[in-house]
Amino acid sequence: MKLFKAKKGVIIPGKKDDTAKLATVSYTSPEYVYIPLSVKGNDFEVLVKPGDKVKLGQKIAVRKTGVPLVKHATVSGEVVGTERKNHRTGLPYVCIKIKNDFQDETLTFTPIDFEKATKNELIDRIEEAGIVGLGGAGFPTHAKYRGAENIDTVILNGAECEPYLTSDYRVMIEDTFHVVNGLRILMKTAQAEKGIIVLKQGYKEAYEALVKECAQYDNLQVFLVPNQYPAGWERQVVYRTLKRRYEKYPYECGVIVNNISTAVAVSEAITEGKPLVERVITVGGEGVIKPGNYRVRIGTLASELIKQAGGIAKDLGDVRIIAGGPMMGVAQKNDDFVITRALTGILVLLGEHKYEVPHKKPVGDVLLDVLHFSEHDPRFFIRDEQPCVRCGSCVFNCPAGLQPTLLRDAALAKDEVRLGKLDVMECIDCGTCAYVCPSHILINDAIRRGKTYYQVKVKNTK
Amino acid sequence: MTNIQVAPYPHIHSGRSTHKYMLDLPITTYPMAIVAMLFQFLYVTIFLDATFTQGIIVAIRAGLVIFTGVFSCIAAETIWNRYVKKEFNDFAGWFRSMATTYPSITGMLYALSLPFGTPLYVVILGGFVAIIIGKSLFGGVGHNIFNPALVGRAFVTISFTSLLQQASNYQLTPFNLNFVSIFFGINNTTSGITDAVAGATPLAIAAKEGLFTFATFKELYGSMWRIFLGFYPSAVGESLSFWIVLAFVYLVVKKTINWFVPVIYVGLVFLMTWGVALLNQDALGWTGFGEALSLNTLGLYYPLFYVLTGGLLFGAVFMATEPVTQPLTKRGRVIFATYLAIITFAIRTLGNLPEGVLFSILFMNSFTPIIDNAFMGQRKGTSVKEIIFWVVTAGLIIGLVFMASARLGGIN
Repeated sequence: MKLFKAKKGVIIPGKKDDTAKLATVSYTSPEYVYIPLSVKGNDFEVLVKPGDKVKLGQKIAVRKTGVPLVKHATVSGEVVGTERKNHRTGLPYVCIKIKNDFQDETLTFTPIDFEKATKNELIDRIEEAGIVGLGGAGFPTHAKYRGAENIDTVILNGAECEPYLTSDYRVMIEDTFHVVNGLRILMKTAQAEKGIIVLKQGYKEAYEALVKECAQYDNLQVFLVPNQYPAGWERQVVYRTLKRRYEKYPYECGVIVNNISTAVAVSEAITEGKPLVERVITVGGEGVIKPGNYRVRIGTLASELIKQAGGIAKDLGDVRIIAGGPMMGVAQKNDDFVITRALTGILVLLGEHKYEVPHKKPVGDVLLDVLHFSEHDPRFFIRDEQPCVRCGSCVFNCPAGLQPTLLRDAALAKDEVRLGKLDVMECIDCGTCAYVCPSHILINDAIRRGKTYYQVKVKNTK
Repeated sequence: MTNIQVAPYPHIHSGRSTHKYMLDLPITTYPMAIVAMLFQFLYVTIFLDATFTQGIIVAIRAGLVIFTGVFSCIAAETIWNRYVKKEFNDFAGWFRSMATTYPSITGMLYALSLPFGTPLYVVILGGFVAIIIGKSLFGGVGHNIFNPALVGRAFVTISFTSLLQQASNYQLTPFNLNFVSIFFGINNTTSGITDAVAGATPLAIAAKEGLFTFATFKELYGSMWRIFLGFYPSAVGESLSFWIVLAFVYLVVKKTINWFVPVIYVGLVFLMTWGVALLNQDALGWTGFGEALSLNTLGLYYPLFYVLTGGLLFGAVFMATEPVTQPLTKRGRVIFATYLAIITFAIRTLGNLPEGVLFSILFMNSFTPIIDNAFMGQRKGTSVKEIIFWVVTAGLIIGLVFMASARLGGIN
C-alpha cells in the first residue's frame, strides 16, 4: 500500500469575508436556460422535441452510455432546440435550450419516508432526481451507493478549502436541517452506523449550527479540519477523521464521502420530492461589484448572473473570469458559459501582469522595479518566470508526496518511463506547487500535459 | 479597456519570489565581510603584537580580497551574459541580469573562503573559474552540478597550494600596501611577523601532531573562546564561528535553508571525532571524573576544536545548503548530509589534506542526481534496500572511527 504524508498542505488566505456574511439571494428567473449534455451530444437520449412544452423538473434527457444520468428541465416553458455553449471546463457542449414562460409549473415526485424505505428505493430516487457530486467532480451520487458494501461511515465534506468560495458555508447555515437530514438519508442508504460532517476551523457559525442540529442524534459527529489547502481532498478528509488510508476509492476502507450540497439535494429529493434544479453558487472576486451567494437555476448563463451581481468593474485592467475556485478553476474565454450542477463558483479576479525590463527609466525606478517591490501590491501579481533553483518548496508542500519539479522536467522531455517512476498518475492537480513556487513556474500545467502524454503512451503500448 | 485573460490555473500565487529567497544570503554574508575585516584587525593587533597601522593595513588587505572576489565574479557574469549569451545592452538589462543570476552571492561566498593575504591575481582567476566553469558552462542558474563558489575555491586550492599556505600563515608581507606584493604576492621585503607567532592553520597543526592533549591546546590557543571568536590563522570568513551560528539561526527562522543538513553534518563530525577522543583517553591526558569539570572532561575539547576550525561550520551552513546542488527530498538530504560528514572526517583524519570540507561537498554534489533518482515517486514505506543502506552506513561510520583512532592514537 502506498503511503503519503496525509496532513500536508499550505495555508492560503481565505478571502471569504466579502461573501460569507451575506444571505443567499435567489435568482430563479432567467429568460433562457441551457441544459448541457456533452461535447458531442450523441451519448444522450433526448426525450423532448423543439416546440414541446416542458414543466419544471420534467425529465428531458438520459445518458445511454456509462453511468446513467438524468437531466431535468430547470424552468417551465418551451424547448427551442439545441445550441453549443461553453461548459465550465472550457469546452463547447451541446445544450438543450429552453425558453422560460415564468409560470414555474412544477412536476414533483411523491415524498418517501426514508426510515421505512429500502436501500434500492432510495438509490432509485437519487438517480431519478439527477443528483451528482456538487463539490466540483460531478460524479453521479447513485453510482457511489449502488455497488458499495460494508460501509460503516458516511462523511459529508464541507471543508471548502478553495479561497473565495462560501456557497457550502451559506448552505450549512441556512439549510442546517437539510444537511443533517440528508446525512441521515445517506447513512440509511449505505447502511452505515456513523455520520461525520467535516468543516473548516474558520467556519464558526456553521459549526455551532450543525452541532446544535446534530445533538439530537448520537451517531452524528462534527469534525473540524485545519485551514489549509487542500484540506478538502478526499484522502486527507478520510485520513484526518478516521486515520484510514485507501488505494483508489474511499469505499475500499468502508467510507463514502459526499459534498454538503449533495446531502441537501438528496434530502430535498426524498423528503420533499424535488429534483435537482437549482444550486447555490458564489459570485466573487475583486472584479465583481456586488459579490455574494446566489441560488440559481441550473443552465443559467454566467453572464446573466454576473449582471445580477452588479457586473464587472470597468477600471481594473485585465481580468480573469474563472469557473470554480482560484486554485483549480478554469479561466474562461468569455462570460458566456453555462452554470452546471457541479459548478461551485464564478470568480472575476484581477489578471496577472507579465514582467518587462524597464528600459529608459531613471536609475532608481529601474532598481526598484527589477527587485520587484511592485509585486507586494496585493491587487496585482507579476508572473516573472525564473529558472528553477531546486529550492524544494514544491516537494515539501506537495500533498500527494511527489516531486513536482522532477515531474515537470520529465514531462517537458516527454520521458514516459521517468514519468511512470515518478508516479505521475498520483498527481491530483491541486496547483499547490505552482502556488508556492518562488520562481513563478506553472509547474502543474506542465505536469498535466505530461499526465495526458503518459496516459496516451501507456494505452498505446498495452 | 477590460480584457479577459485566459491562462492555466492556479490563478493566485503566494507572493514568494526567488529574489526574496536569495536576498537572505547577502543579508547574512555582506555584514560578515565587515565583521571579518574587523576581526582580522583585532587578531593581528591583539595576538600578533602588531601596531595599529599594521592592523589597519591587514584589514584593508582582507577587504581588498573580498572586494576583488565579488567584483571578479560580477565581471565574469557580465562578460558571459553580454558577449556569449547577448542578453542585454543597457543598464536596466545589466541590472536585471545580475539580479537574476546572483553572481554577487557566489562571489561573496567564494571570497569569504579565501585566506586574507591571497594575491589578487589568484582571486580574480578563481572568480572567473567559479562563474564560467562552475556555472555558466553548465547552463546558468539552476543547472550547475557543482557549487560554483566551491569550484573557484577548489581551483585556487589545487593550483596555488603553497601560495595559499603562505598567505594563510601571514608570510606574504601583510604590513605593506605595496601594489606588487598585494597583487602578485611576491615577498620582497622582510616579514613583519615571525613564523613562530602566527603558525599554521589549526588543522594543519592537528594533522602534524596527531592527538594532542588539553595542555598542548591551551599552550597553542589559550582557550576555546579564542577559537570560537575566530582568532587564529584561517580564511577570511571561515573562522567567524559565532557569526555563522547567528546566520544559521536567521536562515532557519526565515526558512531559507533546512535545519537538518548543517545539523547532521556538523553533529556527525562532532560525534565521530568524539569517538576517536574517547577511544584514546590515555593519549588525551584525561585522568577520569576525579578532576574538576572542564573542556578536558571526556576529551570534549577535541571534537569541539575539530568542529570549530577548518571551515566546517561555514561549509555546512552556506555551501552544503545551496539549493541547486543538493538533493530535493528530505530523505535525500539526510543521506547527503551524512555522507558529507563521513567524507570530511575521512579526509581530515586519514588523508593528507587538512581540510576536507571543500572536497567532500564537491564530491557529494556529483551524487545529487543519483540520490534524487533513488527517491522518485510517492513514498512507499521504508524499503529493504534503504535499511541495508543505513546498516552499511552505520558500519562505515563505526569502522572509520576505529581506523582513525588507530592511526592517530596508535591503540592496538
